[in-house]
Amino acid sequence: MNSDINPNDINETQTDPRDAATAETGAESKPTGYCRVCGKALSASEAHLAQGTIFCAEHAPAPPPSEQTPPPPPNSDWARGVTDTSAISPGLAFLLGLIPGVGAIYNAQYAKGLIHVVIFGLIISILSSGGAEGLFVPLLIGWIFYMPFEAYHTAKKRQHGETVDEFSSLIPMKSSTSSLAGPVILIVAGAFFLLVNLDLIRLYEVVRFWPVLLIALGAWMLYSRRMGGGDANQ
Amino acid sequence: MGAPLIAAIRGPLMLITLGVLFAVDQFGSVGFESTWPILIIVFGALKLMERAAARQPDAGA
Amino acid sequence: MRRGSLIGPFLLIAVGAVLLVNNLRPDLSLLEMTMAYWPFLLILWGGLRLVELLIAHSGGKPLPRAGVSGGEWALVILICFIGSGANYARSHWPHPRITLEGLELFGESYDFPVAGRHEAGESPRIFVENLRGNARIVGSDATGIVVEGRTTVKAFERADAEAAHEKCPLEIVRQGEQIIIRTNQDRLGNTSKITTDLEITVPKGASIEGSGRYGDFDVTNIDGDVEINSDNAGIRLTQIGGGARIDLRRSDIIRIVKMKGSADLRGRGQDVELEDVGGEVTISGSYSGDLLLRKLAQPLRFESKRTEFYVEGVPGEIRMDLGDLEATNLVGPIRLKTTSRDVGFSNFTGRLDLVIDRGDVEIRSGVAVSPVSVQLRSGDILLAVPEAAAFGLEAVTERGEGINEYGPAISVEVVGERGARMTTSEGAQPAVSLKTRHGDIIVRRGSTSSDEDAPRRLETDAA
Repeated sequence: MNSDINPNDINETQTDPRDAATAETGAESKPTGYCRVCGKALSASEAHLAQGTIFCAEHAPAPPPSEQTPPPPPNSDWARGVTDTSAISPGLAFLLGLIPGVGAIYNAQYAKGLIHVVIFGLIISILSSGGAEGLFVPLLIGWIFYMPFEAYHTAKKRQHGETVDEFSSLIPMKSSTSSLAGPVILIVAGAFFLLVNLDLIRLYEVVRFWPVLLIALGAWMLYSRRMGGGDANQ
Repeated sequence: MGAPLIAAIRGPLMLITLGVLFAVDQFGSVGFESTWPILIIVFGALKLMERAAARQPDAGA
Repeated sequence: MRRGSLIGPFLLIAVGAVLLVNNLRPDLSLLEMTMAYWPFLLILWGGLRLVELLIAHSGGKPLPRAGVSGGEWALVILICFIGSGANYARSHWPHPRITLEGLELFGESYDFPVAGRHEAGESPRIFVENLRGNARIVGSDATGIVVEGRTTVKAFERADAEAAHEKCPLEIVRQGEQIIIRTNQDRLGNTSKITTDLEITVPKGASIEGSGRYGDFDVTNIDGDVEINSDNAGIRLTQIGGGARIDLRRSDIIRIVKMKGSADLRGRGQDVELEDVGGEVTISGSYSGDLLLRKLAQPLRFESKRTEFYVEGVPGEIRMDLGDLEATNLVGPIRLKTTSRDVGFSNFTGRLDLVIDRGDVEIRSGVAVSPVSVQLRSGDILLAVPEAAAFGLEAVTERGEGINEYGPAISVEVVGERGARMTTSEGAQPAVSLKTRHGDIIVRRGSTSSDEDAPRRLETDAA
């Protein structure tokens, strides 16, 4: 159930406290979720979104101050709310996203645009100085596809009036899941690259074990589905 | 240390790490082109601490 | 009111202040220091921001969502690029000037001419010490040393520039066996604001020794030896009767054309071009650019962190960069041991020994085949030999195909599950042994073109 919530939406409170007043007298809505603590079925108006999961009114923890603000949240350093949402064209964002960095700039995410350009340049320079083409050409193609899609996605969200973070991406990066897998993967990957760079490991020795990643991914998915999917859908 | 605090100081800590790597590149023996994975490691470690802290919230967090 | 960090804007002001002070008082060379110590700026920024956040947290104020905002990261990345680029610019700092309508954006510059003379014998030993600036040394039939040049000083006012210029006069003195030409820039303490370019005419029989920190050395038409030590220099030597010893921490180009003696290059650099060298050539260090070696009469030894290369003579040409090596018309024995490189050898005599970790190997031989031994861990081997050639082939790949485009003289057999072995008749000579652990081996018919005479060692010119 937790996977139904797009972690990127954590910026906005899905139930505006003002709605609760009007909806209470309305018809009973279907349960949209279950309280994480007590398992009580909650309708849209009763559900309190916090820390990435849903709680009932009783068990909702006091949200950290940065989340307590009504939309648009003025506490974020770069609130990207746009006054005129009709001026945002996700289609244009997609087209501009084909040019490295410009997609992000269209969405007023300047640092991200710079990073997109840098990554693009890095891949090109690795390829031109003779890097493993079998690895980097697909990476380049993937990246060239990723940028416009990401720009499109972000523009769409802005069009709906959602505020987006500077570093929003299609890959969920929030700490909404309590899973430790992501960061551990990062640390392992970083350590691995470091050892290769310091000549302590020869790349070719380890790269042949890459299918282990697929196995690990499958195992982790199994594990998380067994654990996470268990209590919600009863 | 609450999770939001770790999330917030991640930025400055990454900045410090970046500065250290470039300082070593300038004055030390290892170039940045070799040491950059440390950035990934630091990022992952901070993210890890953040999620671990979110799992077991301190009293009163 | 938007909460934001105070540090970002504060840093911007600080950077502006530094640039302003540098313009008003160039003698403090603040800009140089900044360009050296900029990473500490990032560390300071991060540290201050951290403290700011911790104070906000303990004070119970709400925390911003991201410790460093998006715009600030953009600024950080920009600083990193400029900072890394500044390293490169530092080495060329005396020369590029950023001007706007004749006004210099980074301080005023004043030029002063310099000149000097000294008598000298027929074969003097001349030592040129010029910390910053280019030196061009030309041998001539006249006796005596003539120096002409220009000193450039960065200063606030002309009076300061003149004072600095007077503090560092051009000196030409005899010291024992040597004649020393020095620009005395170190008398100024902080040498970054004074640069001297020199044109020196010397007797043809001279030997030259040069020392500097930043600046090129050009030496032409000298019968003696040349020795250069510098932190960062481009070297161009033409028509040298003796040998050369070059030791640089950094260089963009080392070019030696027509030298009778030996060449000893060490240090780090980018491009190297040697043409027509009579003596032995030793290159040790790391060179990140293109190497072009032509017409070397004596053995070449190349040594870097991952490569060892020996060739007995190079009447032809070797082109080499970090990823490739192409050699044509060599005299062996030839020994190459390298980690990752694509290599190609055409038309060589003497034994060829290759030990390569990763890369593709191409060997093209004439009718007279030399003994060859290739040991490759990962990569393909291509051997092109003319039809009439006689050789004994033993080619083994542990994982790959053996492709015979040569003819019936070679038999191919499959070895194990994925290997292959190609051989000619037993005992044929010379032995050509090709081994790769992972890759294909292809043997095909090469051409017998007329200009593939067996290379011979170049004869050194009689003086």
